[in-house]
Amino acid sequence: MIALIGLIVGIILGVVLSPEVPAWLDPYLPVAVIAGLDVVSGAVRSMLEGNFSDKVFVVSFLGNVALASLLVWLGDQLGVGAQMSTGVVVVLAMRIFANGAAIRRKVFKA
Amino acid sequence: MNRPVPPNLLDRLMAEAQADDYALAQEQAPTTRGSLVVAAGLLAVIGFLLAVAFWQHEAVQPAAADRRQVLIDRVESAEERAQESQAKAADLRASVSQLQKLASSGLGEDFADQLRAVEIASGFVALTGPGVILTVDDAHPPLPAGVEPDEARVLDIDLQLAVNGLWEAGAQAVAINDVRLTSVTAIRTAGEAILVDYRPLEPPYRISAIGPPDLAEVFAGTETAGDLKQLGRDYGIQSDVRSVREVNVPASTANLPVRAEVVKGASP
Repeated sequence: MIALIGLIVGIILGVVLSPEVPAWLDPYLPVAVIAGLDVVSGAVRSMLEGNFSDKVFVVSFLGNVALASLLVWLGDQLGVGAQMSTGVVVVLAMRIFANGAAIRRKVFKA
Repeated sequence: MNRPVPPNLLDRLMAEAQADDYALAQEQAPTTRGSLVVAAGLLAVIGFLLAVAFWQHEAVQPAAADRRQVLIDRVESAEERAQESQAKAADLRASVSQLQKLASSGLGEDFADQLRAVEIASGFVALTGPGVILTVDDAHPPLPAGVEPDEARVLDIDLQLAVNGLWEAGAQAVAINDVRLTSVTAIRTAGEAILVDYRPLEPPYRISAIGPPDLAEVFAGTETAGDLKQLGRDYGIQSDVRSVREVNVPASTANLPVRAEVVKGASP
């Protein structure tokens, strides 16, 4: 419950403040968001499986966002930024799907 | 939690990409349930990022579209200009080659005079000089007895009559309401209006003609002048000839036939 409230507060803050995103952050923001969704889906799954850990949650979020951003930055430097973004998003989406499937199995037993 | 590792590289990538961090962490160091407050804080951060990214995307998209439209407009107008310039260049090239052909056709020293004469006759240049202004207008009420209002209007044939009379009397250049007449200019009726060079004109019709100083007298002696007077008596059509010291006749805007060739050796 408290987790859901945190999410809603974050969204409201983002909408209300709607801060100007610096141009150099443009390529990393979508990747960070997808990484965040991946971590959230993993957390929901672990809660349903009863092995949630806040440490893993925070560390995996920071680690994934950092790694994803680093990859995209590296791709930018090598001239394959768009392709690297695509690759990162594909992998993250794959993880989200896997977590979603696990959640579905837990919730609906199917 | 030991999963069998698939031998295929792609399958292995899939399996490892989907590794369950929590289960792995549990294996290494079993812990109790984590703090939900920390989780809520991180979720707030993620929600914030989500909202910002969404808003950013929404804000950036229309601006980009606007910029694109501006660029498209610019490209299109530039293409139009380029096309116009190309057409102009083609025209100029054509006239240059024509002039070169004329110049090399050996017309002699009086070529410029001949060219001038052709230009005047073809309506290619605007002219100013002595001449007459012949005004023709619809009948004003009261109309002569037995004349319907429809009959009391100037017709295309009346204007043709007047213009031909002026040519006959020696006019060099004629314009009706500032529309220059050339050898290919038609005077005809379209519905209620009279078209000269495909442009509708309004009465009164002001026919300007440049010619010899005695143009008005010569014209008065022609059959045409008598016919116009007859029109006045029968239908109330008004006409008036005035000798003027300076008449302006504009250049023709009609598309003149430009295929004319000078025959080499022909006497002018």
